[in-house]
Amino acid sequence: MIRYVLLSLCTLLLCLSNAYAVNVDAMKALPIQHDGRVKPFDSFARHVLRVLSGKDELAERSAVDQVVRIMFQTEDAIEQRIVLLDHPQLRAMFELPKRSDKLYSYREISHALSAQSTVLPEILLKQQQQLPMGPVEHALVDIYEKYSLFTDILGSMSVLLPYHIKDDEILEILEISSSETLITYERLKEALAKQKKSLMRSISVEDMAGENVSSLQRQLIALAFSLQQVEQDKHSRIIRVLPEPWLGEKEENLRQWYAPWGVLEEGKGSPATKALMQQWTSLILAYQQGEQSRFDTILAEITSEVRPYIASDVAVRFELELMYNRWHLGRVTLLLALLSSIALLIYGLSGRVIFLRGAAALFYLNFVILTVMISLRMYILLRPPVSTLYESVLFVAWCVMFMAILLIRKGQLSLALVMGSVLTGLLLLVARGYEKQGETMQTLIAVLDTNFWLATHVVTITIGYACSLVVSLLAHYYLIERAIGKSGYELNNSFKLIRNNVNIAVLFTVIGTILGGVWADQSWGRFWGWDPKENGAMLLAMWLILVMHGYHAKCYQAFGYVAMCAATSIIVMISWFGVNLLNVGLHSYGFTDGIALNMLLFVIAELIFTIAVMIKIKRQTPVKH
Amino acid sequence: MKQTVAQRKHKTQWILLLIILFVGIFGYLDFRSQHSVISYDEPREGNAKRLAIKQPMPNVILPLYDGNEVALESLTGKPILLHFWASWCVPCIKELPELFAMNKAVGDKVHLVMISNDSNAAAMETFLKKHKFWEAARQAGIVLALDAKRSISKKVFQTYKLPETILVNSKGDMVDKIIGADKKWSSAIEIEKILGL
Repeated sequence: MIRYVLLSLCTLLLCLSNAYAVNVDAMKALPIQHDGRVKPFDSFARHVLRVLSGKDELAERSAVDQVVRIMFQTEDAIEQRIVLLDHPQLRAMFELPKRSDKLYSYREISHALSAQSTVLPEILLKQQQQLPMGPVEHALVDIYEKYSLFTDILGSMSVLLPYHIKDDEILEILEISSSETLITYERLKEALAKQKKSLMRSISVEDMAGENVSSLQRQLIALAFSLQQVEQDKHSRIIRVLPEPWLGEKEENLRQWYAPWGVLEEGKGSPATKALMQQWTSLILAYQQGEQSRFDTILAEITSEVRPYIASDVAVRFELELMYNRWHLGRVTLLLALLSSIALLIYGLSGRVIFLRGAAALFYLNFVILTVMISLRMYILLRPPVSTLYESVLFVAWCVMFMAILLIRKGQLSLALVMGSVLTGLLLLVARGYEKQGETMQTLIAVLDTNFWLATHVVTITIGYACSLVVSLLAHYYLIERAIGKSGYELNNSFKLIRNNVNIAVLFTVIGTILGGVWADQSWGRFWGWDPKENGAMLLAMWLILVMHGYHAKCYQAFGYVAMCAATSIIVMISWFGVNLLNVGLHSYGFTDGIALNMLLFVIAELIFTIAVMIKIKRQTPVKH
Repeated sequence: MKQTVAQRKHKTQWILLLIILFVGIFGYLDFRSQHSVISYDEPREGNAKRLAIKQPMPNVILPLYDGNEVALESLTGKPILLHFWASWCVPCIKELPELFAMNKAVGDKVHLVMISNDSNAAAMETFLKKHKFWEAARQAGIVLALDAKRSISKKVFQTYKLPETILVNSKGDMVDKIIGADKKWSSAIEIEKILGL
């Protein structure tokens, strides 16, 4: 709410004649420190936009464009519909209109949250204490976090925003020359401080209530008030674009970057930071005045000023990250998987080999691109590619594709392509859902940030998930073959594949679970704590052991064995994603909301499929392998 | 003619290799064309991980308490401690004995420049006399500057909080800034560091 006042006041003072006419794409390559890592501004902007709206782009404007508008406090910054509110009950509680895109402006959200000011602190405390919360409470916390992020960015540059005071009388009173174009918070504060006493002396409270205050005095008071509002932003630290000039005896990799307010508040200023801050003010001015050429020149100067503060190895990773962002590899792999699946479907319907070859070519290309994508991530982040849920889904997709290649070498092209295209496509779609939640290259919490255990336990268990999904897919394929009446060699072959993969899946999941216990012992002082994630891993391992041993012990026949293998996908979903819904325990760093319904639908779909196949093959002769 | 399994495998491997080569070349060219890999000055002696970024000390003319002036540039050739303080700043008062003890230990090998943010010279002089630092400061050759309008402290050196001390090496480069009054300036370790600047 305070933002409306501030922006209304600033609008009186700010020249906005050619705002929005400036192309800010060049800011993508500006270095910024966020989440402990120096990265391109593009990565930061995408993260912000994803958190706020779940999108990479909005209203045909790039993430950088959207974030810059907020940073530079353009007129429409608080009016633009950018905050996603996807909870009908909360929306109703907020009395916000229903919209198809579910996007609301900062002003609307701010107003709605202020109406909840009595209950919000209680709910935030609940979250802090990790007490159970209902879905509406979770949604309220989520929207509050979005609001806080927006507010933080909105105030991040307020200390550098230029004031345009046109009134010569005011300039004269403040002893500011009319040729001074870069009047910022500090300058105005200093000027007003000199006038404060005389202003206070000349105006009484009664004067303020009545009509005894001149227009000039009102304007000065308004200026003073706007400075007070600006000071509320002094805790903003999110836009860290000023590298620390004072390293002292610290190692280079510990050099901090500061936000403009941080430099002032923490006393980190130097002649270098002062010059840089003045350049930023000039940049903002050029943006506000719509001067593209000046904007580009100043931006280039700022970028070249800060680049020397980045070590050469970090610089290489920085450039690679820019390239990674530019290539949209996540979308490319998903698109290729989709095209490959479509080609495979057409082959299945028409029998024309050219579509099979096309699907294969797209599959191979997709494998290469996914390999490049994962390799880039590993190099940029300097850690194994399984540190977050998003990354683990990508890695599982890669493992599935790798196993598909091995299957192709055995001459099972169609089946391999179903695995490599359809299953991979589904996994990449899931990954895309996680990508939309925000930063996909975040810094890890301490317990995860140990490369040895990431490389061993997490990689092993993730390969186990991949093998388990492959088992499930092969089982589905077998059941479909049975349902359509196939028998003999082809069916035997499929069965053998399932059995081999079950053995591999058991190996990786069991070893991965044990390694997890060893890591837990080192990190948390206990081998096993019945944590939901640990229970999930054990559930999968035990399920696969049950499946394997049950068949050997002749507890069930071929159909029963395969049906259980098909159901492995349900166990994988529970073990991998379902446990995160609980958000308790030491593993609760992967909390994801809103997937419970999707999981339920998946389980129902699997059960329907299995029952349908059972009915279909009931009257067939039992098959033995 | 029907291809053998081996021939098909061979062909598949070649196709895969070509795809990898294509993507690799494309990626490399795209990478090079968009941004050149920047190489930076690697470390100077002493700390292999340091970037060679210099912060030259601004050459300002410091007004002294007695109305004279001194150019900071004229003090280069020895390590310099630019100490920003004021008589109304309580932590500053706590830190003064340490600074004076350090100055006594290093003698004329280091310039201690004390830049007061008091509003006038009299306030500064009264304070130093009261705490018996006045004579010591003048005899020890400490540079007593007065920045009443804070135009140098704030606008040039960006000092917003007191006390702050900027360490300048003998080449005139600012190497560190110490915020607050917790430094044990008179300790052997700190004296060694200062002399090594």
